[in-house]
Amino acid sequence: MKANKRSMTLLLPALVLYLITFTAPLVVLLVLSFGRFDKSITTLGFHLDGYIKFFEPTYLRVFFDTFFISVYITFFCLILSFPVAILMRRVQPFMKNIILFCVISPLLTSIIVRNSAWMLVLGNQGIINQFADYIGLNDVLRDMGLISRFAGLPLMNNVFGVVLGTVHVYLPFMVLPIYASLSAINPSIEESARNLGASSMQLFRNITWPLSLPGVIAGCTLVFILSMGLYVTPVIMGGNKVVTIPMIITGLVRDRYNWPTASAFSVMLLITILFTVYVSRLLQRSVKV
Amino acid sequence: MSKLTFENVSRYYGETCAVADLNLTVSDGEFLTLLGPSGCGKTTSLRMVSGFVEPTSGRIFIGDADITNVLPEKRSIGLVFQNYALFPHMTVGENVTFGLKMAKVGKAEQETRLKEALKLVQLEGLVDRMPRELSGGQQQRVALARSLILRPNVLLLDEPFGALDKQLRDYMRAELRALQIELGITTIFVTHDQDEAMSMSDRICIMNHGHVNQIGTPEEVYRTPANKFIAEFMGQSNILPANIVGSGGKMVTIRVAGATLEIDAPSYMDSEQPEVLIRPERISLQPPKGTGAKAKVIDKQYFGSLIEYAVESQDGTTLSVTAATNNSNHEPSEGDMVMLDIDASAVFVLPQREASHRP
Repeated sequence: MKANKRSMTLLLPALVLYLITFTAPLVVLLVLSFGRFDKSITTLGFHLDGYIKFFEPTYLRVFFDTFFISVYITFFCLILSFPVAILMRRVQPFMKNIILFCVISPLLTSIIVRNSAWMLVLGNQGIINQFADYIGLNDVLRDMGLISRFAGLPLMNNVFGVVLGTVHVYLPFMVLPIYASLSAINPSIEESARNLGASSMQLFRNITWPLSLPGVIAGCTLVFILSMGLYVTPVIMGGNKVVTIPMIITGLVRDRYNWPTASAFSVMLLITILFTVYVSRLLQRSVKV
Repeated sequence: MSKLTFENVSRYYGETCAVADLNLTVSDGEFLTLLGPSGCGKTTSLRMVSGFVEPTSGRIFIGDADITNVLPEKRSIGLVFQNYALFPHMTVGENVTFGLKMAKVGKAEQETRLKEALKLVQLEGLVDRMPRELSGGQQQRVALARSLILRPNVLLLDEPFGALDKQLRDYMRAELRALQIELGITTIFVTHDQDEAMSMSDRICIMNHGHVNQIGTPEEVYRTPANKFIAEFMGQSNILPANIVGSGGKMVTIRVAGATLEIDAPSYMDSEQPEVLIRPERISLQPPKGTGAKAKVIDKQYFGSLIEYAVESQDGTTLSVTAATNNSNHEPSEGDMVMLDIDASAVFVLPQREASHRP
């Protein structure tokens, strides 16, 4: 017990750092969120102004936009990640490491660089649109009135672009937990299932998928939470057409110095995330693995 | 139920040979054990039957049907893994009926057959348990029931007792064998444990380095091993150099460990200095009288029902001797001189083919 107590002191530096950089700002945020912002003056107290504002239709809509974009991102991350994770489990270790590196590499470059690179691919003057112009596809679509006269294929400055850019970045957060879950499945379990007559589809549905659920739930939770805090990608790839809650919060602070409302919105975002974690834990517990 | 045949089956991994030219027929209802040290090719052979490893060449038959290229899920072969490989997210009942569900057997029949199968392995009442709530022995039975419920043609057991403690292992051994005889199911059992192999099998197929060294009943492989490797692998042994000192007709006189014995000359003996096998329990220690071979007890270990001695004969050979602890046996102590009493019928001249076929 004594040794344990002493080794607890190893936690001290990290604990101090967390208190200063995490807990303290959170307390400040909570206090501010109940403040009042009137004629550019912030007064502390117990006011619900910021929270009431959150439920105004304009902002509620932005919240649901953010929510659904996060759902799309999570969904596409999931369907793109599962095959990769399965492949990683099947190939030789050397090949596995190469795939792993490719999956993780987006995390090694700055998000701005990555999103700007997508602009070169998806923009009106991007590679895809130049090619579509070259083969005459865009002219056909313009004649049909499907795209405007001065634009190319609408690949960015919309939800599609934002989702694509984000999926690219968040893929590793989905692949890794799923891979971890899959590699925890003893291969003899799958061989048993086949031995008992399961076809490839039956094997996946009855064995592989249910046994990978802990990883799937963890991955989805992670990606969803990260997506709810989306800021840089919608700014770069949304072209003012896609607005998320973090963008609103930033705007409130930067342009209007409205800290109480920004704080209240932040708290609401935090609550959403905590709720997600709660649901995720319920799901994890209901999975019988 | 049907017989299983390997016809010139080989499996290579690159240049490495896992199984070389295996020819083996397991008769209908037979319990055959593939026995050998790890890496001898026994598990690869088993996996070729279950379909998870493809033979590099050769064919495998069940009855008259060639199953070499049949998918694992279409083979109708029961398979029990060492770690049981139960589905951790399913109850015992769901585990056992899994195969029936895959084959889309009706609910009512599933229920009947589930009851039957659980009764067979004495697991009634545990239908709703999860695998992690079961003991090792119970998990083993679930795995067995899960295979047997499909009424497979052949049952494959891959070291199924490896994870059990000794008492449970002995119990399950007897129980499994009784069940196998009751169902009359053709069974291949893989193990590296010679005790398991001896006590359960109709026949034992001993493999080493991918080659079959000998196939025979437990008694045959124990008494008349095909080579030194088998003699050493199957139980305790004294493998001793002998000298032929005289011959007459079908008999030869040999000297071994200071004793002179007249034995039947085996047809394959072509050396003047053959190696002979004498099992420790076939030597008895007598009080040192007369002219027999003398030896000195250098170690004595007491095991309750038997005593293991190490004795050194006058020509310097060390032999191990085991004796049952009963009142009629002479029980010398460490350091005592004794006379070796070796029955001529206990001497088996080892065939000179050194660990046959080894590449």
